[in-house]
Amino acid sequence: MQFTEQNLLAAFREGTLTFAYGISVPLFLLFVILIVVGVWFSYRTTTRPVAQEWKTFLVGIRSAVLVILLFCLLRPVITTLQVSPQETYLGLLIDDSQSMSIEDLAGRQSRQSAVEELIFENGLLEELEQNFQIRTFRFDKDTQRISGVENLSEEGTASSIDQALNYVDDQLNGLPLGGIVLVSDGADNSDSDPLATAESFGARQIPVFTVGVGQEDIPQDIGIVDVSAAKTVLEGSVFSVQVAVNHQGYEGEEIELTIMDGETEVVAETVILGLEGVTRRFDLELTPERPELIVYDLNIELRDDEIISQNNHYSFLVDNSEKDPLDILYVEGHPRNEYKFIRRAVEDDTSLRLATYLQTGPEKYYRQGIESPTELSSGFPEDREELFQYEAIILGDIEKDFFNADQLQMIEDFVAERGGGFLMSGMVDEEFINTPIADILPITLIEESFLPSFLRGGIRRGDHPTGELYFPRLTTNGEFSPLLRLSSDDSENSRLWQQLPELQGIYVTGRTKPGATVLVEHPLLVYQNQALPLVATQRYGSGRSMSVTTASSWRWQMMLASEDQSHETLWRQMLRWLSVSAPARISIDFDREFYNVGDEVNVTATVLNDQYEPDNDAILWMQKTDPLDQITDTPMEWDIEEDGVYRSSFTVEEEGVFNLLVDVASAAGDAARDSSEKRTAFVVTPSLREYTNAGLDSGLLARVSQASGGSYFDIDAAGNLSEAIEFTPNAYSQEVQIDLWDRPWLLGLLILLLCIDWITRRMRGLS
Amino acid sequence: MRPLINQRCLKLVNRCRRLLVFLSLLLLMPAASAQVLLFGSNEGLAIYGTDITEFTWVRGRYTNHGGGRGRGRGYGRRGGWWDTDYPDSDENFLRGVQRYTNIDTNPRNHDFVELTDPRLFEHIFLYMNWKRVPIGSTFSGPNFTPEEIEALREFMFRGGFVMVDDFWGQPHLDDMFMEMNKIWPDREIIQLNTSHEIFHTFFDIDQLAQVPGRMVTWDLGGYFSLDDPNYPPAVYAVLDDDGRVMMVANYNTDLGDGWEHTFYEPYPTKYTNEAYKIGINFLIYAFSH
Repeated sequence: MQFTEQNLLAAFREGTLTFAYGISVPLFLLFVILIVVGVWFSYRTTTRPVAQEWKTFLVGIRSAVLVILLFCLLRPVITTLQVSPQETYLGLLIDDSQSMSIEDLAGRQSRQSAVEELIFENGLLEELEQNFQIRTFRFDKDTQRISGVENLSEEGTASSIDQALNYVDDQLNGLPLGGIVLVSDGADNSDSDPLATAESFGARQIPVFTVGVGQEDIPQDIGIVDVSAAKTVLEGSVFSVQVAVNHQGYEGEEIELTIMDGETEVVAETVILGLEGVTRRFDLELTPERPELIVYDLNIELRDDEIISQNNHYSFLVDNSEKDPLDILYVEGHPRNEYKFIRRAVEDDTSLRLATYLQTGPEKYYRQGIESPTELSSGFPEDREELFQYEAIILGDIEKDFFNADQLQMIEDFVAERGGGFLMSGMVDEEFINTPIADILPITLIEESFLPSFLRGGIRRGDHPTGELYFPRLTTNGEFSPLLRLSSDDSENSRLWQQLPELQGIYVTGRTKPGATVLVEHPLLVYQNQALPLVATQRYGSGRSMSVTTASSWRWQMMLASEDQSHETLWRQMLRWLSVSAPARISIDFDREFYNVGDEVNVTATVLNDQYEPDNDAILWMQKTDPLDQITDTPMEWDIEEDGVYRSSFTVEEEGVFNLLVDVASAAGDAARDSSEKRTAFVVTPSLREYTNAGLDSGLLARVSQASGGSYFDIDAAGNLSEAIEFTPNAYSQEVQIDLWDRPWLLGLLILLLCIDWITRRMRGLS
Repeated sequence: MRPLINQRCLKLVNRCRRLLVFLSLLLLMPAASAQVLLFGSNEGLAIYGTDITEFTWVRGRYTNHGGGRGRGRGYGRRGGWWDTDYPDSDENFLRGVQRYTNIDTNPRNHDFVELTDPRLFEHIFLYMNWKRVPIGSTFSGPNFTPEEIEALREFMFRGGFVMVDDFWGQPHLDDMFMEMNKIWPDREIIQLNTSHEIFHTFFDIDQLAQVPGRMVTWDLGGYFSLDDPNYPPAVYAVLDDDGRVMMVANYNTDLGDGWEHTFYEPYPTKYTNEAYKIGINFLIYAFSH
């Protein structure tokens, strides 16, 4: 190989200088001194007097000539490691994710444009090709080999440097890989750490040279970080949409968040941005207009000076399709106002079905809300299969003797094992003490005779404190509980609660159980330093329980204008909360809430048998309908490590709504038609990940290069990249010796010095 | 011409009727037969204490033709008959409700309220007697003020149930329709047949009884014209937007008299029973719809 002069300088820097005839550099320096001394002696006397400065000049010139001659005679050699031209390979990895389209360089140049300019237009690729066989790859969350700039699209929805390095390693495995050039903004949003892979490269002497592009801090940007439409128990199909927003450079400024349903604006709210760099969440309320799956578009108004526009938009799915109602069994001990108005409250709520069994008189019962003539025809269910069909149970003022011991135990199993909800409304028969019902309740039961006298007298109106009118008091937990929200706005919610009429009477229980949460309490009456709980909840086993220890919430219906919906709202929310968490016979879960194109979707189906125990013998088929209406059927495989759990996964390639239908054939063949299949859906949306924390991460890139033995370059300094690669040792570098004595410039220098010496001597009249 | 009956025979007949009342109650409530009271006993209301039960029977008092709301006799009522049969019918009916049903009440817990009194909304069931005496008279009966009409509408919209009673013959029916139309000019008044849920909430009532009313099918001398074909019984109703009955009017039947005369020995037990059955069914319906 013939070095260019530029490369020779590099060789000087990278290599070692020796003399072929064995003389050491210190000895050479000794000779240099002797030469200078000898010349100085020879100029001690001259044929004509010469000024001291001229004499010094002539000594210097003559010494230099002699030193160069000596240098050349000793045959100086530079020894260095160097790649063998075209014998080794170099992997060129170019980040092609969406973040590379960000225009944060000088003159609003995009990152990708700067990369193209460096590699393809300014000749870096050609330089590298002089020494290496180049293999070029693009990468985002996947990696592909490309032939040129035309294959770059900046559409990757995620970046994984680790995956890219491993891919190149796999692809070039067996070839003499001399190094890797990684050009990226370093905005890695994968779960894998590239440092371990870089260290592995380093151990194999494959240096990774990283080139960073972009600004580390994007000065002007407002971005949506995340959107979630939470499942809700709120009345009126009101979905609470949480929007996480981050920004740089707009602290304290107002922005408008809008949600569009197609071309129609359905929500518009102005919010004030907080501290820059701090993600802040804003709650928006959304009331879907149609009973179906709806894809909404969330927008933040774009500022003129904003650098990233892509993160001002986001699409999300709200499932407002009609679902089977949640079934609630309500057993009531006697006709009373509370029963009437609980029934009325949920009568128009299609998400709930109240099957009621009202004891109207001694041995007289009245059924309402039943689905078939046989439902509850024999009274309270006698077996688990019949009882477990419901999602929640309400007991209202019923006596313990109504149940046998098996039924009481079954109720506990219903909550603890089946995961159902349980509500005790109104008075509680003291006979329930020391029964499974007492275990389920969030409050302890106590005989009235053990109570202080001022807490006796019962729930009826009369001359005793427990029968008087009072305004209930929300606890802190109650104020923010979705069960009791009358408005999503805190102050409005508080105002509406203050406007509720007085309740009358409270059933006195013992203390609240540890782990229970009191949502509403009596404003005055206290038992054992604890305000009497009016509404309390707790988790019990897999299920939930609640107690409402007044029988007068009906007053919120009769004592308020007929248009007021407070009573209906509260009861609907409480009953939805009570029943919504009870698992269905078939439930489908996804590993994520939203997906992006190219993502793998992992679907989990949990199947329970008629006893609501995990069913490992079912046969499941999953039918997938993609946004292009293409249908595919795939079996779901039982996960041997989890009872009743079946899994399937696939990759989504289209944006839009995917519908899934999971069909279950039980080995026992006992699944009713309505419980043998389950429908669900998910949405594939554009990703925001590439625009979140999208600043240049030079630290990561530097660590990768350092761990592998390479170097980090900012894109502005990448002109030295080719040279650095050439002289950085790698597994395939060879030792080369470069002779210096025959350098033309050395001979030229010698002639020049002799000419200067001769002319000077002539001018000074020396011989 | 009235038959002559000697006093001894009459006492014997009365004793038999008492027995019949008792036996019929036994038949209606076999499980609770041990607790069934003989309604003829002169129990004092004091035994029920002072507690206010969850259910209190209320009558509505309203503005009458003649301009007043007072009680009294004849024109002393200032044209009003809101308190017809009061309080015996109310107490007796509550006695029956207490015995037959699980509703938390007792005979002591009855009251009457002005229609415009906010206390009206502390109740879910309102009983009213709207009759005009004599039938067809324009000097008696309700003359609702706009405030009373609005209160009644609001009471029912919130979930309250209204029962009006004691209308006889076409003139009363016309009056009843006229007054109901004042309250509900925008709703249809329908006649309920016995297949309606309201007749099956507690007792199964397959045929409406003509419960005798004093001065119509029963005169003051104790003589009855039972099941008079000139007065076919019916129940009219107004429904809310969800199809629930929120107001009923009993026509050609007088439940109030049936309850009031529970212990009046000449009053036919069969009709007392029917009065209780319909009243209790209405009450259970009101508590469940």
